Amino acid sequence: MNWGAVFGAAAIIPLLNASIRLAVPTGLAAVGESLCQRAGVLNLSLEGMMLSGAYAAFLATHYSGEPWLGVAAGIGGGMFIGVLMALFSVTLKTEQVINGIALVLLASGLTSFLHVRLFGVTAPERFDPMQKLEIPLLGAIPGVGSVLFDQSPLVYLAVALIVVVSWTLHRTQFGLAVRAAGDRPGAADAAGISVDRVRSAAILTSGAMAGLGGAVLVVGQLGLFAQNVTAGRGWVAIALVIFGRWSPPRVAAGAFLFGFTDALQLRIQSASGGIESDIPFEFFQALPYLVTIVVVVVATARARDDAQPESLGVPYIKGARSS
Amino acid sequence: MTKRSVVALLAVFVLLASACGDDEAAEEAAPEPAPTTAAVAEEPAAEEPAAEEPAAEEPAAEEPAAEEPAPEEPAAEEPAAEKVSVAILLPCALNDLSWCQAAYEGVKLLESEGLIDLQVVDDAPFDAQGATRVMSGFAEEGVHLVIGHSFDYGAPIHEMAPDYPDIKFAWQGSCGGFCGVEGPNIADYFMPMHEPAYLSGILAGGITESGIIGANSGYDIPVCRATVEAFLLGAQEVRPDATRLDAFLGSWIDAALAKEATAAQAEQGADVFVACGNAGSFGMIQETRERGLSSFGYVYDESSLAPDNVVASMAWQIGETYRQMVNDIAADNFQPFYDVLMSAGGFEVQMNLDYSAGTVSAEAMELFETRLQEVIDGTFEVPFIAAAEG
Repeated sequence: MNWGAVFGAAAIIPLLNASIRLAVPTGLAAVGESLCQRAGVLNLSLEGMMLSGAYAAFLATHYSGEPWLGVAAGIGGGMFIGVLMALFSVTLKTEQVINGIALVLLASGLTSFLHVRLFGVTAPERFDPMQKLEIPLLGAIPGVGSVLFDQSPLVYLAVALIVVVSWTLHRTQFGLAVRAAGDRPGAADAAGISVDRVRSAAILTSGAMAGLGGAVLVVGQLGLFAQNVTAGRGWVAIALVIFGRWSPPRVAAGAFLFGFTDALQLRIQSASGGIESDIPFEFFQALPYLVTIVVVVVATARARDDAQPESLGVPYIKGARSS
Repeated sequence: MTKRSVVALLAVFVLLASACGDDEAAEEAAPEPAPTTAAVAEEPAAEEPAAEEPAAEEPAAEEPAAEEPAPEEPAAEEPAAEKVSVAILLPCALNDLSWCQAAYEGVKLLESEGLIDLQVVDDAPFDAQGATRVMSGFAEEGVHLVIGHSFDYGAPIHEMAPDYPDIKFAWQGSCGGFCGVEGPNIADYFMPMHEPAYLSGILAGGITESGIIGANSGYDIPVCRATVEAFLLGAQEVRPDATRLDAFLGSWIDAALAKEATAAQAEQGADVFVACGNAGSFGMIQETRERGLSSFGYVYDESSLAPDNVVASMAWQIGETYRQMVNDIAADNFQPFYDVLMSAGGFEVQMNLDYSAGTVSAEAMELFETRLQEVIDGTFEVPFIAAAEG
């Protein structure tokens, strides 16, 4: 096959751009989820948050014609599922795994149902996705410039959010409270931290970021809504949190690696003859997962510390003995 | 304690609410579910008389190509009790502009002609277990024909069909018997997309400047292989040097990934694109829109997604396939395989008159017209290449 078509000088920049486009929606959701899990909540509703955000973004952009309103609605759509998740998991202390899965089903059913109810069998409307925003001067730098400084504004927003969440978790009072709520909620409580409030805030942040991830797909890339358009990215994001060992920068790096391998496999498939190729296509589909797992294993083989939050998935009930 | 019961109630509510997403849509799709059920309940006893009808039904079965409603009208005037009851599972939204919408409009056409009683489940479960649950519900209810409109419904139908020998099952396998899904009450219906794909390929051959075709498919299944192979063969009639780049997505719903596949192929030089999969076509068309390249609509008229860029759409007239099935069931002559080709009105190539991203060469247009007529007349056979050669 023609490797130059994949790794040639002219192909590298588009490859990196595609990696970013593929990484951003999943990365946003994954970083939000890592914050949520650090607070002790195993939020499996992530796919539902993304989908709800994607649909809210579609509706708002469709009816207002204003993509930024769509982005805001996407964040709200994710937080809507977040409110339900917080209500069930924090306020009512019920089984987090079941709440999460139920909310994914809710989002899937609700968005599909609304889409048929609102638009019937007439052609679903489409709109033009948000334009790229080239940062003056920096965007004109050959090569790197177009990768770093000539992207959709949503990409900059995503990177900023990822940085803010990482910083918050490790460098602020709130971040300390989050980590305490996830590791030793009893001790946090004794220290005067409201575990419920911290966990709810973490879930809502996760919802906002996942909803934004869904909005990026619809407003930033496709310009339309298709049923279950998030296509499992929320589940991948949950896996990335574990791969990234609950550290937001590592989780974000994992998301980029995943996006990069996905962009790469599409290019190798195309250049290697596709259906004429002897390699079954399933190998290419599995490649992002394989590469991510291998890198994580190699990178963390030495780390003997147990990064998983100690009270992950355990509802905190005041006064009850934690195991 | 009270908190516990509140929790339980809320959990039940959430599960119900999510389930309702499917059910209410289904109810809306089938305007009179209750009467249908009632009719079906009375049906078992009345099933035999249907066999008395073959003479009346046969003419219609022999003339699938005849599109004028005239031959159907006598059938429509028959008593309502003779209607075939049909339940169809659509694995996507019925307004998806593609796979499910084409099937939905197909069964709706038959319903409007008074041929069938119809129940539709859109957004139907895609997993074998969920699909079995929905289909067995219809089978228990006693509908005459359960249609699973996806390749993936083959396995569950193969499993459950022997349990309901009086119910007919149909699935979109396009296998013609070599996928291992068979039984006396199972029909595989064929998606002859290779025909419009070949004809579209001729147009593509007349458009492409680089001579490189881009293709994305959801999965490696016979129809998708046959589609992209026929598309290239068509293009090569005009451009003997044409080549193809293709990718499988591993998904029928990931439009964003399809968009990236199209971007990757465009970067490698492709300038005309075809897709096998509904979400695949959405992403592909959006990317060609952004790049000013050309693409073809999948299964339904998708030109509204990019009026400048969609050359034509391969529009499946599935109603004609279902019509044959329904007529055969009424005549107690259910077949194991239904292949309603373009010669019988099974598919159309719908040109998009607003297309402006490229120009179809006069030579290609002329060849297209010639081959189109030959395919419709049945004098030109497009090869169905479902497996890798050699």
